[in-house]
Amino acid sequence: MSIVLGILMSHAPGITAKPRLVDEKRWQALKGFERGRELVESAAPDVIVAFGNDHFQNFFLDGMPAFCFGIGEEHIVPAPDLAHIVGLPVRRFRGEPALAKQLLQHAMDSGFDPAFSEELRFVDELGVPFSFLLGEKTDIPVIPILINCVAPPLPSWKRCMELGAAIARGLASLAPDRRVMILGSGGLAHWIGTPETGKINSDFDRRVLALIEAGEGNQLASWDDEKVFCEAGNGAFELRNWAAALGAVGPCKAQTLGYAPAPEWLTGMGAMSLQIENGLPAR
Amino acid sequence: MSAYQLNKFLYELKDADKAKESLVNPAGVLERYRLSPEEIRALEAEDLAALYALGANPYMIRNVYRKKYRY
Repeated sequence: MSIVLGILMSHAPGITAKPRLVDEKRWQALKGFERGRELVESAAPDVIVAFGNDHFQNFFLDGMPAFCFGIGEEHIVPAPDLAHIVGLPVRRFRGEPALAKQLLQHAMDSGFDPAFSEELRFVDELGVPFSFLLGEKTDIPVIPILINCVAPPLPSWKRCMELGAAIARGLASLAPDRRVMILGSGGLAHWIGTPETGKINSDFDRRVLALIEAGEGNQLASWDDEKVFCEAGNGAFELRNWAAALGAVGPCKAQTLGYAPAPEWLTGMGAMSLQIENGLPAR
Repeated sequence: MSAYQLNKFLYELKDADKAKESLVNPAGVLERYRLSPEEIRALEAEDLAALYALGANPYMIRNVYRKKYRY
């Protein structure tokens, strides 16, 4: 198994639904998101493992999994009734049910207790990154793994990073010939549904990007939600998906593809590419 | 005091207009969801800050009252 590409990307739906709400200057700063498409072409992954979070379109407080593996045969992104939120056409992706179930079993054997679902609904958590990274390309199968970032108590940052690492070990043992792309979707600083909605903290955002660029992304494992909430809002809890992706790829340097604070979309928007050369992370 | 019933109301009504409509018949709503007078007041007024303070999950607030936000 080689991890051929690792991408971290914000998924606020405004970027695809209302792209021109931000001015030209910031749109230029975000152009790098589109570079993701070239990166996918040159890395040529044959499976995408995508860490993202539900927004109550799958789960509610009557049954809330910390982690949920999408083991279904097909993933429709976005769900037709949610497509208007992201302003994207509905696309169908193959799942990898056999491998996903093996990864699930492997995770359980490693001491995790994830939930699973044969049928998940998606909106911006996969819709937005897929739009930039894949465009109209729907021929790469997907294994989605949802992490609870919206209904406390949430799985710890450390646990999320450990899950990523366990997934990578599972892939190495179960899928030795596969070319894997890892995606971590969500963030950066934003406040959703709270009185501070629309507030941005670009200092926080830039510090996180710099941290990961320098290969210090493992620090996310020691984050504390009270502190994160204060500085970066409940929306920043979604960076758990980045923690999982970083855990899967392992310590490595990274490049920021694009960043802009975007109060119009209520979120600091960033995308990064983890530096992987010849299947190995660059330290 | 659990805000579960308040969140359940928001989750099942899903939409600000449907929520407002249902509150026209508060007796019907109260039969289905055990809401407090404060919760009913906040829902009728679409007072999002009050809903948040009463324990409505903020992502649920955003989902139901999406039109009130810039994006």
